[in-house]
Amino acid sequence: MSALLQYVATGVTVGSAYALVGLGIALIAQVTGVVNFAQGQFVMLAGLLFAVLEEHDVPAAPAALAALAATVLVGLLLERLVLPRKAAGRTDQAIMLTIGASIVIEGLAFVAVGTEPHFASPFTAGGALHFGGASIDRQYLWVVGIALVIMVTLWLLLTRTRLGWAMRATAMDADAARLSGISPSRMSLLVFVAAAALGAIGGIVLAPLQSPDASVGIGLGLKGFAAAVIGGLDRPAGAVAGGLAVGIVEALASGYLPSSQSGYADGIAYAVLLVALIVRPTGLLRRVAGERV
Amino acid sequence: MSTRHWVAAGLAAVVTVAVGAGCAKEQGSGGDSSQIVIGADLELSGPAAVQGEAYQRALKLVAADINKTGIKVGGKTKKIKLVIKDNKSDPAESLTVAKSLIDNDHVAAMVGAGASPTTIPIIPTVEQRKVPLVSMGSSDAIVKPVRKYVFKTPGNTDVIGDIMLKAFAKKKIKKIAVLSVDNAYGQAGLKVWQQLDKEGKIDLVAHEAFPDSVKDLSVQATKVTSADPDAVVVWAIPPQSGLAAKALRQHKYPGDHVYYDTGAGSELFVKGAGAASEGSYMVHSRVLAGNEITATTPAAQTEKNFFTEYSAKYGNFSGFAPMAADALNLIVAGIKKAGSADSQDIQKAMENLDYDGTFGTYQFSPSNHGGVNESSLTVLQVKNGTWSLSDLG
Amino acid sequence: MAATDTTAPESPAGLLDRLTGNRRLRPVVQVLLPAAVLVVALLLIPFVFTRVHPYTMADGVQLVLLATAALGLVPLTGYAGQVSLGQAAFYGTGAYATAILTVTFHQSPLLGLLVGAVAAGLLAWLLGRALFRAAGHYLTLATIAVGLVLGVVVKQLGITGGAEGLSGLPPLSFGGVQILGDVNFFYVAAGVLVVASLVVQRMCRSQLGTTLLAISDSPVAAQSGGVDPAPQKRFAFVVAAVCSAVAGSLYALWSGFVDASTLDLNLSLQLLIIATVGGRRSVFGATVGAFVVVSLARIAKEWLPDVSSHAGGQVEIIAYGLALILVLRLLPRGIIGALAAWLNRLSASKSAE
Repeated sequence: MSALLQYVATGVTVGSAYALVGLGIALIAQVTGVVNFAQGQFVMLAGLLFAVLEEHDVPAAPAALAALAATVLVGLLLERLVLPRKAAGRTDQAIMLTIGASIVIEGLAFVAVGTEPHFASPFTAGGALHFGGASIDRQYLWVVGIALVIMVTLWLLLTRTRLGWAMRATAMDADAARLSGISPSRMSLLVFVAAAALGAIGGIVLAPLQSPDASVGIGLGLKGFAAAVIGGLDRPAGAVAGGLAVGIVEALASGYLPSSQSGYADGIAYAVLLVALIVRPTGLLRRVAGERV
Repeated sequence: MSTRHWVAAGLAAVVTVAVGAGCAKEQGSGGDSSQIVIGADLELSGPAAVQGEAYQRALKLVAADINKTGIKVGGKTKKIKLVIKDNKSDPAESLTVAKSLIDNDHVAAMVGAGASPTTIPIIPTVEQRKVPLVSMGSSDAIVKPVRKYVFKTPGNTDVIGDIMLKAFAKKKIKKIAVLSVDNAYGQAGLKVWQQLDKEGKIDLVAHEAFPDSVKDLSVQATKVTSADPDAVVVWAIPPQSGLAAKALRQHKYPGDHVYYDTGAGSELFVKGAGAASEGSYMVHSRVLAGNEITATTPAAQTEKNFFTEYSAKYGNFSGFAPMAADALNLIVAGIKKAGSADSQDIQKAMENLDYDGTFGTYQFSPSNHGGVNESSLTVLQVKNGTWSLSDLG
Repeated sequence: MAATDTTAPESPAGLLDRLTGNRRLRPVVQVLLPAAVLVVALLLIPFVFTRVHPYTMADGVQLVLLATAALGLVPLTGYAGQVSLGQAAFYGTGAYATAILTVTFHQSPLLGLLVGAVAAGLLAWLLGRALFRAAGHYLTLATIAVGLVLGVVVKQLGITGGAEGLSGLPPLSFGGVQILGDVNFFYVAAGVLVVASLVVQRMCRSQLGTTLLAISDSPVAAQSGGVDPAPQKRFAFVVAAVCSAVAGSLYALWSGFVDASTLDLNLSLQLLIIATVGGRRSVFGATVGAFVVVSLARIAKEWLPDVSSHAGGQVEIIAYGLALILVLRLLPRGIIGALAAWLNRLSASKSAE
């Protein structure tokens, strides 16, 4: 029983990382129709910067702010410079542009910092917490806590503010939104900035746990993409559920597969994704909608 | 002439040139005669970059030292030219790099690769092209079966297992669990323990493999500690070895029951594992505890010198560095013994060489191409955040 | 995908008509001229790559192998508009099939090549059937997932050599004659590339090509016209898989060693970039794109590490990413597409004089 608890605890915390990436991807996809492959790089960039700054004896708070600011700037540059202005240009081609941006960011990190992992100190000191036979690092509580805060904030933003309302309008029908005086171009910029900030915060809070290095972005991006797809690209809540599901399934697989097969756990997330795509190709949680012709 | 005639004439000319040009330049052996070109195929990026960086630093240090006086070959004093290339910890890239060093840079000998998965693919090439290769990979498969041109410096996997077994006997440890990385190097380590289990020498109660990019080992630690082993053996390099230390400690598994293979031999391990590594053991050459070595023999003095020099230049020491240092030194010893910088002469000289290096002592023969002698390895322990000699050595 | 590129590629024959004014030469010219240009370009490689630093013949071999694999993306991505990031799965299938057949079962390398191609084609067909309802982004993600799952599986199975892979493959041989050395292997692989290019080009010029273009432009219109898009797209998927598998088999025979790195996502990315930079609608785009990517990698690896003392890692991916972004924004039809358009404009202005 305590083993199961441990696996679920690990799964939830690892899954929170996937959920944050998936959330960013789903948000951008909804408002702009673009699948942002570089979302995982936002997490990597902020985490790496935070850790490197801390290693150079910058205190935690300024380091975090600097990392956040830099990552948001990168998100802004991505939206303005890399993606085409007109919506018509943003078709399936846009995914390739974000792939290109993703590897440019990774490459720049390689040039600036190399491949070594960097270490950040946990936000609060103290050993691991133990409950019911499972033990988790204290920092995990920060991860889950901050993830919850982000999600609640986002929900409030989208449902209770004019800005959120404008974003949702753009997501539903960009042309109609434009007619109502909303600028889809401005919405696009804002949602990229928001997603970058979201990813950055996730990266910063995860850094003490996962000693980031320049190469973690692509894997995170893929798992986040999987989370968003499993949950249905049109529902941010779905992405969160998807991310947690992927994390838990991975942990359970690592835990319950017999030793000789433990290597398979690495691919379980993608195997599940494949099955999901075969069975329900538009996402497990998506409302089945007809397509207007 | 009309347009179509110009076009046709132009095409014909280009075709003629191209057909003639399709002939490739013959691969000659060129090179500056005042230099001996030695290539290095290293993991400067990717999962094994921690090792690669240490190897690179060590090679540059050794080459600079040698070039202060140069090497006397055939009446002339020549200097070493190091050509270092990055194989990205990728076996396929390692092959490209090796071929490039041989074909483009015309190396007399090669150091590399730094790991088993990147060394094995280049073996057929160096054998075919007759270029001596000294590898820092740990797997026995590199030198068993013995191949003419391939040598290695780190202790063979079964030798490391043997030393650990002796330590277990001293501490009366019978039940062990193994945490290994899921690649050629980790699988080689696991095989050794599975074999010892079959022979009844120990009882393998659990084993878990993890991918080389994993960032969290708590699940694996749970499974391994729940089997209640007397000792846990970890076969991985940093940062995974550090993660293993942390995870085991979190599960309240005592640090002094954890044993690491040579792969954990870097400062980065202690940095990444922090307090969790305190008390843990590792099989390695004595040189890693350089400060504690009493220089009673010339061999010990060599080790201490290297330790001091490397630490002074780079700020910290890495257990991987002496492996590469010895690789280059062995080649140079071969050159000096043969009195020639010709690849085949170097190979013949190296095949009958006794050498005292910074990592340990070597006795190469036609049936023994490495790694270091078992007597050079010992069991170290983390005391107060650094590697020290232990009582199990 | 289709919204950005609605014109069909300019046929060299039409172009040459304007230059030479001789319509009877058209069929011959249509096939021979582009093939001749390709052969000439390929012959220049041994000349250049053995003399210019930092190229090597190993780069040359990789160039033609990557180009062969990228060929398959012409019908799949260029015509049918489907982005695939799973081509490495088929490259690896070809490589492993060849390795297993030659090392474990001691069969001839050519049989290994055949089995690899068939296995990859079959896998692609099965996946196409299973995933027939997925489309667009979802199918792209599925292609990524396939590659990654296969990558994990081969590291566990004994028959694929586990994490150590399979080594000791015999060299490629035809009727007892072994192909040894990079230059000789290059000639064989280049020959395969030329033949494959012509075959794929023929396919795309036929009814299949037109159908695929129609489907990617407007699936709904195509369906209401009575065309079922699924089997056609599946066929394109199979063609892409076979091209990759053949390239993978050749790679295995050249390097003598196969491991999970043949299934790496990076390879799939490289192939996509090659096809995009060279020109997704032209078989020659694959060769041009491969040349650009291999050159960028070499130059980046030589120069970028000097930029910063901390540099490490696959720094050349900056060059790949920038090339991809620049081409997609500025030259959406790729290099060959842009070249064809330029020649078009040139001859159009000539005939107006």
